[in-house]
Amino acid sequence: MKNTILVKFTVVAMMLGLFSPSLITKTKSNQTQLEVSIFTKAEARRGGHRSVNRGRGASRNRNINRNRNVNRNRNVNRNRNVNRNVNRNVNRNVNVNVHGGRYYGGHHHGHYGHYHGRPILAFATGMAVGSIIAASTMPSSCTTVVVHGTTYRKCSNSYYQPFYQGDTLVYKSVASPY
Amino acid sequence: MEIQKKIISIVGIGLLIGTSNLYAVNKTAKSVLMNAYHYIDGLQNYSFDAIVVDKSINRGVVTDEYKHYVDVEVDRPNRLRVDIKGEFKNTTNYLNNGKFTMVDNELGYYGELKTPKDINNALDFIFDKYGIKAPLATLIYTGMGKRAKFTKSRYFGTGLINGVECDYIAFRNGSREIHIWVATGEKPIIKYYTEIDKFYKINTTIFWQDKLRISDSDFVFKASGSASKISVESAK
Repeated sequence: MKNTILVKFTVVAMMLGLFSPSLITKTKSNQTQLEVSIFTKAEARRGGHRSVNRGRGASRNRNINRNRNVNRNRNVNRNRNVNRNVNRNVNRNVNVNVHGGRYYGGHHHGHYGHYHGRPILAFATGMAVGSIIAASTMPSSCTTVVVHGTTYRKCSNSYYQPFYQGDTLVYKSVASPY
Repeated sequence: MEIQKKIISIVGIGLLIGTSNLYAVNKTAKSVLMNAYHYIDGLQNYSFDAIVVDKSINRGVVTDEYKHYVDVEVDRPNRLRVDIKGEFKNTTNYLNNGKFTMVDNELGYYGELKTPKDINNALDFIFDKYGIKAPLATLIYTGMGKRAKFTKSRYFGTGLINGVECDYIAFRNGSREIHIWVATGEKPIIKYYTEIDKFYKINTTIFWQDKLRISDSDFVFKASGSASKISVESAK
């Protein structure tokens, strides 16, 4: 009877031991470290380009390709000519996107997007009054003028009024203020 | 036979006792993150720089990559300054006791909004009303522990970021993942994080400033003679 109890207790104790956290000992800088993991697998899925000491040996890097084919390349001519001799001349393909969540990201670039349901356009000559234009596409030949306290960009004989849509600078094509 | 039983019993008991102790010291992703947020909550005046690398991804291929340099100064409860310099941006945002100003440093344009005075409510206001996101807001808000909501989390162990040992944790919500490295030790500061979604990946390296470099004038925008005030409309 005594032996039976002892055997049962031993089996239970061993089972608990088997399913307990795994232990890894490693030596770093002449110091022995003990690492513990309760997970049976640790998979740094995509972000882990840094070296990581994982608990328990199962290292399974998965390459998950779930990107959709979205063609958002636009040829943007980002010339700006500012009165203060700031002259950008960048002609490149810009992937239009707004990246990042509310708390972690927050940067966007080459953003055209929409204005009250209408698409924001790249600059072109002869644009209709009321058109909304991405600031990054304004040509360098444009100059800033102030008429009756209002700021405009003048490109040839056309006028564009700058404003922020959210934190993105855009221009609205307007009639001549003169 | 008796000897074998004794050996097995001793081994089993040893494992059992070891298990109990080890469970007590184990970290979780949430506990690490909450600890980091709790540390940020306790700061009054602080500053940090960040390098943000923003990658657009199409069919698993990086199609564009942009780098921004971001400097942040926080003076709680009411003042904040964020400078962003990069290929597509050269801007400064000021939040000063209920006035939010964003300035295009190249063109000289600036827009102003009246906001709630404290940083948390002001950032909520400009986001909810105008769609303006504060860069690196997770390191600026207080009470981020209550705001951050993820469905899945995991603790991966430790890794080195710029020579500093960090806990590596990750969170997932839908298709969006956040991988975060938090320094182990007395100051659980967030050293690095990566945000991953279907079409982009943003890597952010943070350099916390040990010496306070904040001055009152940092939060005050003074329009130069050539500066032009322009309107601000909602992006929502």
